[in-house]
Amino acid sequence: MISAGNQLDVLISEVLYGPVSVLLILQTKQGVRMVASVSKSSATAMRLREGERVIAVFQASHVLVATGWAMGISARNKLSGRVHRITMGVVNAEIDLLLEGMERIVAVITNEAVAELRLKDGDEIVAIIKASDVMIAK
Amino acid sequence: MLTSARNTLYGTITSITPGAVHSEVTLGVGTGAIVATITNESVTRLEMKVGDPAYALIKSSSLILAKTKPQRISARNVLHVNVNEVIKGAVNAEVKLSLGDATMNAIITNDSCDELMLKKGDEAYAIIKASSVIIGMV
Repeated sequence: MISAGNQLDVLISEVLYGPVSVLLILQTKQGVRMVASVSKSSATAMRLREGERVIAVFQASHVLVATGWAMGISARNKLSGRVHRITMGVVNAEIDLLLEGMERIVAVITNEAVAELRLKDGDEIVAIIKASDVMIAK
Repeated sequence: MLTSARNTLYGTITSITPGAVHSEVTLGVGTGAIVATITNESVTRLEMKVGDPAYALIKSSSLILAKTKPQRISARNVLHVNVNEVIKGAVNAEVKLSLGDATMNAIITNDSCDELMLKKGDEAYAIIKASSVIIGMV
């Protein structure tokens, strides 16, 4: 068990080795492409290989939420879904998102962002996560 | 203080909004502002108050880049930058940027770099979540 709020079952479809980092091309159960960038030492220690089922782990605070526009951005991971529930705090808000395929993820964004995006339950959104913010567990 | 973070932006604290656990701190930098969410404990420990000189520390891997300005995104910080240099590695690319007089660095995947066709002289937008910003006191 780990504290990170978001864990998605994925399949490693490709492992691209660099001298320091390794890029893992992943596929969710719904066939959505995800990318994780991990250190070569982790990939080697965990013996990550193509065809393996692993868990993509990312913190709620690393998830950005966009409404509509999400093209032309360097982040590798863009997951489409809907706002399931918004829990407002004093500074930050927790957004429960239901992805296509009914998987749930959580994003923590500022209250200001919720107001600016006029986010409400049921809104179609895109969750954006940088490849380097995605960890792998198995 | 010397740190490994590749982005250090100096400014003055313009607002502190305390929450239950986190506070939102705004740092005026040049003509713009950087928003950071940090713990209340840090605000107290560092004796932060409006008007104090401070700096924002951001790891280069926390920057997301876009060629056009994202309009509807939850990230609090969207900085208009210029691309000074693009250095491709085996997996990742380092993008050297300038924000006014300050220089910044972003690490993105080569794939993203190619997709965005980033090159020297381009205008771009650096997107940074408030929770990825560390505040240091001068």
